[in-house]
Amino acid sequence: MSEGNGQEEMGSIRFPAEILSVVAPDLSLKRHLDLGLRPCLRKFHEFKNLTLNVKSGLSRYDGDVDGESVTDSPVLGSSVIKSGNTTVICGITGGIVEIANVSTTTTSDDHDDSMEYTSIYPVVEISRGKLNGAPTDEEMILSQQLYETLLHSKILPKKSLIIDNIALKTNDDTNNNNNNRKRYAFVLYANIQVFSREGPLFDYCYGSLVKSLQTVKLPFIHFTDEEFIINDNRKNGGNVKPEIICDSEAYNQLKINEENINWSLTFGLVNNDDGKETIILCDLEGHAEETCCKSLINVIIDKNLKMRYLNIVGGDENVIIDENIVLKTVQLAKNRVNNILN
Amino acid sequence: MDSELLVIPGDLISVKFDANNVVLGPGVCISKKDNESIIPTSAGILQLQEKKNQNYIYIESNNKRYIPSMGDYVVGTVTGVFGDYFKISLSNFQSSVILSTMAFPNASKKNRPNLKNGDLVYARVSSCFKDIDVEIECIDPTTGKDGGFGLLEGGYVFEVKLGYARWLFFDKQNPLLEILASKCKFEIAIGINGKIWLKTDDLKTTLACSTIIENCQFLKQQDFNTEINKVFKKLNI
Amino acid sequence: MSSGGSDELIYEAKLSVLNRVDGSAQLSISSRKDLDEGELGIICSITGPIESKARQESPQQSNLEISVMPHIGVASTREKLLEYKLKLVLDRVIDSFEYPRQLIQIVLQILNKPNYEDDTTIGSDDMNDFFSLNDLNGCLISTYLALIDSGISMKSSFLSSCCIINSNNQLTTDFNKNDLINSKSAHLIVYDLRNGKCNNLIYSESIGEFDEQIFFKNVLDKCKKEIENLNTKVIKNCITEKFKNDYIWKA
Repeated sequence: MSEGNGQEEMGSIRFPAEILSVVAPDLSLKRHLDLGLRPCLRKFHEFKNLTLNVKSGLSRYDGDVDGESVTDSPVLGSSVIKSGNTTVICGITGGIVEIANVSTTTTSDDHDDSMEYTSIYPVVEISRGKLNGAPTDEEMILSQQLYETLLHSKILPKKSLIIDNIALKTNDDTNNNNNNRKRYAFVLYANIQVFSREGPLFDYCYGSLVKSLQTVKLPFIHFTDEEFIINDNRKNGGNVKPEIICDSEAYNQLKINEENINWSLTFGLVNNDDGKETIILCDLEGHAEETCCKSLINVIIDKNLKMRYLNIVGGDENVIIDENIVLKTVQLAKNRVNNILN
Repeated sequence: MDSELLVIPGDLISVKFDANNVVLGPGVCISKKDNESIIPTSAGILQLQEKKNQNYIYIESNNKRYIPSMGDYVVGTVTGVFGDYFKISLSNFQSSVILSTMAFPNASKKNRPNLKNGDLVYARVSSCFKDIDVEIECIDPTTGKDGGFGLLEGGYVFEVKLGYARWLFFDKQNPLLEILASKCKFEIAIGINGKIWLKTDDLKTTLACSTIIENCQFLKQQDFNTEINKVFKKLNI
Repeated sequence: MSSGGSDELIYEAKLSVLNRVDGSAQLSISSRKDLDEGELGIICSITGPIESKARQESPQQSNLEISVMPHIGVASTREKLLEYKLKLVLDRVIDSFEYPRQLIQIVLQILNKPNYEDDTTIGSDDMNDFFSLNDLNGCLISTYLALIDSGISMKSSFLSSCCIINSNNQLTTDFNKNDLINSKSAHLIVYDLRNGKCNNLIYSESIGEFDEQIFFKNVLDKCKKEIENLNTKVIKNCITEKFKNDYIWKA
């Protein structure tokens, strides 16, 4: 602060809207809200446009798309979600593990119905122009949230992943002695790529995950005595003798609990200028909204419009979260989910 | 202890006072909602004092970490010597504070104080804002003389709890120091940052006094005498 | 050591358990009925405000670095999520403008979990990962106690409580691992406290089948009572004891 002689006039500086939203996000947001708009020029309760695409041409068994199929693709199911400028591509791959032959039930006498559900292992990559960086905090947190949410939603029963019918595909016809064979199960992984991140990503990542899961086709498994020659560019190529191989054409549709299919929605809460009214913002987008809406409500609603998950974060101490606001938010969510899932 | 009010952050302080002459001390702040009510921001004993028509409100609590505030007398260690200032460390893992070479009595560009890394100084916090480096000075601002500040030569430094150090410093009739003074001769500099510098004629007395001061942190006042006698006896003084 | 609780749970809390850090607390939560089950034990340490690295600095506010260590194995993405949720609550409660450009380090170590002996495999995804609400509950309470011990400026006090609605539609805060897995819904509620009463909802997480009415009428009331109970019976005594020890020389 320079002390000049007498009064020095302070002029005002003008910023273009995009720069103001970075320099003073709360000011930019308040000015937009007073006009009844948001920085992304949507109305408060207006959601972003959403397009869901499940025929992405990536999957192994999507042979019915244009007659082409990528028979050596490891992708068992996929989906693409576009919302605004953000694109989320989810691809589900699988692995096979041995499981214990006798199903081990714990000593609990209760009918542990929930233990029959499992989840898949997602890895989220948000493209930020940097190649091959270590997973950022946001990516790790999203991956864990997706894993836990899918588990709690009870969408994927453990039984669906157990491989029941393994055929023996050899040149001689010795019958397969099933009792000596080990039991196998599938393990599913999801690789989620996000492009053009504009705001909180959990909703789109979860949506793409659930949609992909609905398209997953599990391959037929065969025992084999065949030997394969792996000739890759590394020095240790040679003969490989896998015990089991996946069929390139035959598959089973993954059986999931369709009734529990659900959708996640995140809302931001912010006060208007005189602090009297709380505004609910749908589908947060942009730097100003993301930094200033510290209070959030995340709801997950299933097909039958029942609530399955509710997360209220009261990060902003000026926004008082009471029953009215939560009920209004849940109602908005239910309407939206009705449009999407039904 | 029971008659004093123990508050935790967020409690409402329901004391009536005249809003004009209130001085807020550590641990309280004005609520941003109505700009009027005072809320405690740390847990502790609420102290309300009235001196010279001013109401002082603060929270007395014993923290482990010293946070500098204006006018505190501190014992610091020199960690860096630069052109026109010294870097002093008041507590571990915290930003250093700055002691300007001109902040000494009779200071001039030619007459620079001779401090090296590792030296101890007794100083007063002269400027303390949250956003910039804290500055300390070795000169008494009212008299312009050294006022007891400056390099501490010899002696021994040890750490005590912050609340205890404040009591030793501010309580004029401190029973502990009075009893000690009657038993032996010592020179002491108490830093509000929890560091105490002690110097006596010989090693045994220094060790005895420092042990006594450190141990009495954990004893009631009625046990001070027994502790003092015990330690002196142990060291054959 | 201060202990007490409701008719369903026993809490034990102690402050200043570690002497090399600025604030620390140890908490254990166990069931009143089923004493063989073991307890949820957590120790929390806080160091700060200290100097932070340049990349962690924030110009006007303090930065929080939180680490959660599981009771078995190494920290994984599960702990990362716990740290994220803790940060959401602590950002609201800690007065970060009081310590600009400084760092507050919070480390939590989960010492015990109930039914630990049943966990035969490290990180078995079913038993351990299915719910982390109970862990989050313990972490929140012990972090609050450690913050009180460290004297870091807080805008308000907060406490949390975790409850389930089981298949018989009973609402209870006393549950073991199996109850949790088989429950209809599980809820974690965090309130801020004003003069010993629950004031504003700071954080809530609810998983399972439930509807809004159940949430607002039953769950919130139950958790409010539990929190206020915890505050009066355990927390206040714990803090009073800390001050008695700290100022013993004053008497």
